[in-house]
Order: sequence, then C-alpha cells, then structure tokens
Amino acid sequence: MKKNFLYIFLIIGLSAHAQTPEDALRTAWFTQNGTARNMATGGVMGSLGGDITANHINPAGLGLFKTNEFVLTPGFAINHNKFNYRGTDTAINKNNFNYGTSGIILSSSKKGDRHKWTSSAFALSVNQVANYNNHIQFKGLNNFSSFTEQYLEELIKDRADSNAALNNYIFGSSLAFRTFLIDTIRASNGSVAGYQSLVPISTGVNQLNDVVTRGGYHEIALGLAGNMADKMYVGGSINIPIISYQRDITYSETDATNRLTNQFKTFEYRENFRSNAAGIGAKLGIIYKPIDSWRIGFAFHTPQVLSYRDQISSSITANTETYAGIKTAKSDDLNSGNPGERKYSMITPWRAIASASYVFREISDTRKQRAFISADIEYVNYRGSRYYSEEKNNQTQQKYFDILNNGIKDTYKGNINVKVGGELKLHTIMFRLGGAYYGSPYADENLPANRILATGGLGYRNHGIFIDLGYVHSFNQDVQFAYRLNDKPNTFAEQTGSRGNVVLTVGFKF
Amino acid sequence: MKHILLLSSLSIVLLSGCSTAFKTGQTPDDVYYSPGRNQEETYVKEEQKQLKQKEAYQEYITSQDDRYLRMKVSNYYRWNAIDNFDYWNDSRYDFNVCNCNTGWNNYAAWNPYLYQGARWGGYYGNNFNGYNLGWNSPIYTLVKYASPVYVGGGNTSGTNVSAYKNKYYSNNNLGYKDPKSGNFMPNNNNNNGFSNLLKRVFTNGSSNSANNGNDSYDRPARTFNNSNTNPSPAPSSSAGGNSGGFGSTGTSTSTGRGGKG
Repeated sequence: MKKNFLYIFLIIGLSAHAQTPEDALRTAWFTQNGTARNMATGGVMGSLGGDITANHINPAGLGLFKTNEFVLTPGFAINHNKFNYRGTDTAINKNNFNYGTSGIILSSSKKGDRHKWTSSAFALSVNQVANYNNHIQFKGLNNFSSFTEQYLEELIKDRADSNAALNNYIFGSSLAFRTFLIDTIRASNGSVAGYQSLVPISTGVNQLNDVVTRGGYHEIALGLAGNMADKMYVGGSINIPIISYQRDITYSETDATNRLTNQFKTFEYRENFRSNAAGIGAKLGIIYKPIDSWRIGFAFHTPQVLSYRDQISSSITANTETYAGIKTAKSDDLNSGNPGERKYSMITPWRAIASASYVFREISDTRKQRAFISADIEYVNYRGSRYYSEEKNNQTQQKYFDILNNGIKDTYKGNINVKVGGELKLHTIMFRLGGAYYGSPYADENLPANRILATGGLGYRNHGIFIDLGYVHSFNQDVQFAYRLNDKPNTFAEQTGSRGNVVLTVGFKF
Repeated sequence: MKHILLLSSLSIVLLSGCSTAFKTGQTPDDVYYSPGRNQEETYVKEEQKQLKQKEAYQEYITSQDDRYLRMKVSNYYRWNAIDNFDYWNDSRYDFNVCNCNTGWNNYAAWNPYLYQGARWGGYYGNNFNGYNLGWNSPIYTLVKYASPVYVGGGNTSGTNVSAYKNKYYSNNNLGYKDPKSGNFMPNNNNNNGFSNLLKRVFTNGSSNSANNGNDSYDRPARTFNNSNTNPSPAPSSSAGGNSGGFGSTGTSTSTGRGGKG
C-alpha cells in the first residue's frame, strides 16, 4: 500500500478548485426541467409528445401538434442541503427563482392523400437545463490531512524551487508560499529539500468549506417535426446552450487547540470563479404508434460543443502566529490587478432515450380523454466529456487536456436515468403523479450518489388557456470534496437533503 | 429575475386578450389528440386567400397589357417580336420553362415579377415547375464553429486532475472519542503509516502556551526524491506557470514575499 502511494506521489500532482473533472460533470448530471405538466409527471417525454418540453427531449413529440401555442413556465426552487463531514453535521438552505420550458409552437396541417406528411410543427423554446444556484457548506475536525497539502504535492511534483513557488502558481501555491502558510524545508547544505505546511495537522484543525454557486445552463432550441399519417413522428432540433456559472469559495482551517506556540492559528482561502460558455448541439427523435393508444419513442442527443471563457481570482490570508504573523496574498495583485483567464472548448456527453407511453382514449372530444402513463429510460455517457485546445502544436496545452480527459474517463461512467409518470384527466381538470431515479455518474462505487424524484401536480385547460402547477421533490445523495490529494486517503462530505421545485406553466392556444 | 417575471406577467396579460381561437368550445389537448385549428375558420381563410389571389391575378394581367402597350409605343421595332407568330412557335426559340431561372431568358428578364413567381411557385407554381426551387428545395447550411484558443502556457505538466485517480478514502480522524467528556481525543502518535509525509516539530514549552503538556506536533511535509540510484532533476525556477489550466505565472510578482515579521 505504502509503495502504491509513493508511486502515485512520484508521478502526479494536483491543484484543487482548478479545471477538474467536476467541471465537466456540471454540464451532464442534472435532473430534467420542463413545463409544469412534464415535471409533474416525472419528466417523461421520450414518447409522449404534445408538450413543448419535447423540443428539448424528443423533438418528434412536436409532431403531435396541429395547433399553435405559447407557453411560459416560471418556477421557484428550495434547496435544503445536509452534510456530514468527518462526523459533524451541517445543514444549509438556498432558494432561488428559475424557469422551465417556455416558447412557441407553430403547426400546419396538410389535407388530402397527396401529402406524405399529415402535419408539421415548428417550435422555438428556451429551457433552463440545469440550475446552479446552490449553497454547499460543511465543516469538521481533521487531524489526518490538510487543504495545504495539495500545494506541497504540486510544488514537489513540478520540482519547483523557491522562485517558482513564489511566482508561478499565483492562484494557489504561490499565495500559500507568500503568506508563509507553506514554506521550504532546507537541507543541511542550504538547498531546498522540500516543502512543509505550517498547519499542525496531528493536533487537528477545524475545517470549514463554504461554496456559493449561481447561474444556469440555458438552452435555446429550434425544433421541427413532421407527422406521417398520425402513425409516425420524426423530429429534430438545433440547440444553442448558454452557460453562466459563478462560484465563490471560502475555505478555512483553524487550529483546534489553544496553543500559542505551534505557529498556526488559522488560514482562509477565497476564490471567485466565473465561467461563461456558448455552443451548439442537436437532438433527434422518432415516435411510432404501432397500435392505437401506444407510443414508442427514441431520441438521441448529440454532444454539444461549448466554447468557454473562465476567470478566476483567489486570495489567502494566514495567521502563522510567531512564524510570520498575519499575511495576505491576492492573485490579482500578482497579475497586474487582473483575474486569471482561460479559454477552451468542451464537448458534453451524448445521451440516448428510449420510451413507451399508453394513452387512454386518443379522441378529439376532450370530455372523453381520460389518462396517460409513460416511462422513459435514459442513458448518459458521463465519461464522454472532453476538453480541447485548438493549438495542437502546443504540447503543454495538449498534454494538460489529455490528462484532464483521461481523468474524466477514469472518474465517471455511463449510467441510466429512469422516469415514470402519468395523468388522470377529468375534462378540464387534470391530476398528475410521477417519479424518477438518476443513477450515480461516479465510476467509484465507494462514492454514493443518486437522485430520486417524487413529482405531482394539477392542471386546468379551458377557454383556449391552460394552467399547470407542478412540484418536484428531489432527494439527493452526493459527495463533496474540499480538496483531493494524491498520496493520502481523500476525505469527503456526504451530502444528503432535498431540492423542492415549484413550477407554474401558463399556455395559450391559438 | 424581476425583469423576467415582469415580462412574463405582461405577456400573460397580453396573450390572454389575444387568444381568441379556442375561447369558445373545447380547448384541444395535443397530448391526447390534436384536431387541428378550427375547420370553419380555416375554410373562410382559404376562401379569402383565393379571392385575393384572383384579384391580384387580374391586376397583374391588366398591368401586363399596359406594359405591353407602353413598350410598343416607346420602341415598336425592338419589341415587335412579341407579336411575331414565328418567334413564339419556332422550335429554335423553344425555351425550356426552367430557363426562367437562368436570368438569360428575355421574357423573364424584363419581367421580374414572373421570374419571382416561378421561383417561389406563385401563380404559375406547378406550370413553371418552380415549386421545387423554393421552400421544398433542400437547404444545405454550413455551420462553421470556431473553437477558441486555449490561453495558458508554462512548464507545469497540468496534473491537477490526477488526484482523482486516488480511490482511497478516509473520513475518520486519528484518535478516539472520550466516553466521559464526549470530546474527541486526537492520537498524536499514530500517523497511520504516513510518517514520511509529516515533519515533527518540537516547541520550547513557552510560558504562553495554554497546553504545555504537548511539546511536539506534526506538520504536513513533502520532500524531493533525490535517490542516488534514480536521480531527479534539480528544482527549477521555470516550474509551474499553468496551474489548474490557468496561466498562473504572475505578471507583477517582483515584490517577493517579504520577511516573516
């Protein structure tokens, strides 16, 4: 075991809160968002159709439209997060406004036998695919590892001398070095033999990790679908993803003892990270009615190509008592007053959906329409995210992306999501229930993660207007790492808790 | 968000007034069955459309007569061929209808309205075979996506993600919980096999210390591997510069870190 750790130690290094596989997961692991009707029925839309959410799930579902409609879906989310970190429990809430699928559908019908396509429909819609507004906070005592050890690993791996430690890691290690949170270990001849942290780890430190995230993963979709004799529906949509993500980290470690001679009282790391992206992708789908009332659907979401621009500013304030006192270092001060920037492109994972629905009474008289039940199974290739640089001849860049991509393949796996939902319709009033299970994206079975959704809602449809109210309660299980080390067992917070999402859809038929 | 809510509210109010098509009768539910828009309304619209087309056609014919007369008056010899029976029935001048789209057909050239009509399948849609040249024509869109250049540099090998390969986890502290006090009692002597990653520090037992009983503790530490059998390169000042994917060499770092005091 010791040999393994030493081997890992020799070949690798790290820097937490930089570009990591977790950044890739942000664009892949999320629960479905749609109209209130769709969300109230567990998010099923692989074969059902007839709802504007289809534009973002299975565009073939647009083919069921022979009418026009305009839809708005505002929402409100309540995050209730619970954490257990090394035996200490923490709870924190975060509420925010959001929105589901909103947009317009325009359809046209063709009469007569001459036309192969009975009708067609076009949709322009926007959807908040993922909502990043959240607050993660956990704390606990640790006498085994320190956040600062990642800096030691990085400097040793890179074989950095004191000049490099001072100047070449201005968002992390250099800040720690400048505040004397870490310092050199001198050999007997005065040369740098290594690096040490001032954190008295054996007597323990109280760690606190506070992460506030904001923003969202928005998607504009232009969809077109055709209806072949009310038997088969084929559709596709072009998607324009727009991502805005902000993350503010405040991480601290404080001496767990009252000793004034151990040359450490506390340090605080702060990071402001901004990430914006835009790109393009496509979704294709088909729905087939083998017999009346039954619908079978299949959809494929191509990887989306995203162009990113990130900015980062970070700082460390450390109090090393008699060693160097209170010192602060900021990355902006070391970079002519500017935040650090990076630009790159990324490809998100592909996903595929298979679905079946049964609709009781597919008839025009709305008084006799009775119910539907539907189920989707979705496969997401979480390990398929890739980062790319255009400068293929720049080996430093390319090597970095290759390692990052290998890390993604090693950290994540493909997994399935299952959704089930149904509706009971009593002329103008509708009652809905559903549920969903989102499997873990982590390849390591020791990291428990899943999301279980319980959904429900009501709907009213009359006088050319429909109003739907939906509620989604998500039971979340996940893991949160404040930092990761190469040569010691890693520690993480076990996250549980829930997310409640109330959505209202108002639609107009015209 | 407030703007979005305001816009949404405004849209709802406006559209409530505009949504007239299904205010009476049943509101279709496309999930179950989509009947299409109101058939009667569609019929009326179609009738109005045909009437408009008829009127437009009559106006067009009249305008062509006027145009013919004006041209003949202005230059009789030039446009004489229009009335030339041999010209129109001689196979040598038998233009294909599709030539109207080439831009070289005289008739179409001086008659842009006809040219446009043929192109979009207007009044002469099927006759001029223009139907397939417009809306139903396949459209090939070349989407050129430019990936931005990654901005970075430096000599760091960019291994910040490698720690994700470490699948060993420990969420327990070294020590025990005192059953009497309920406090956690750290075990200062149990390094759990990671002593090579620690550096023991001895204190002087200062009178300011609140806990003079503990005179030593461990700090995390890492040292360069300098074995004689497998010597590594000496530490370099060019290390780093690309930490975590960011160009991390500071542009104003000449100040140094100052003294400890």
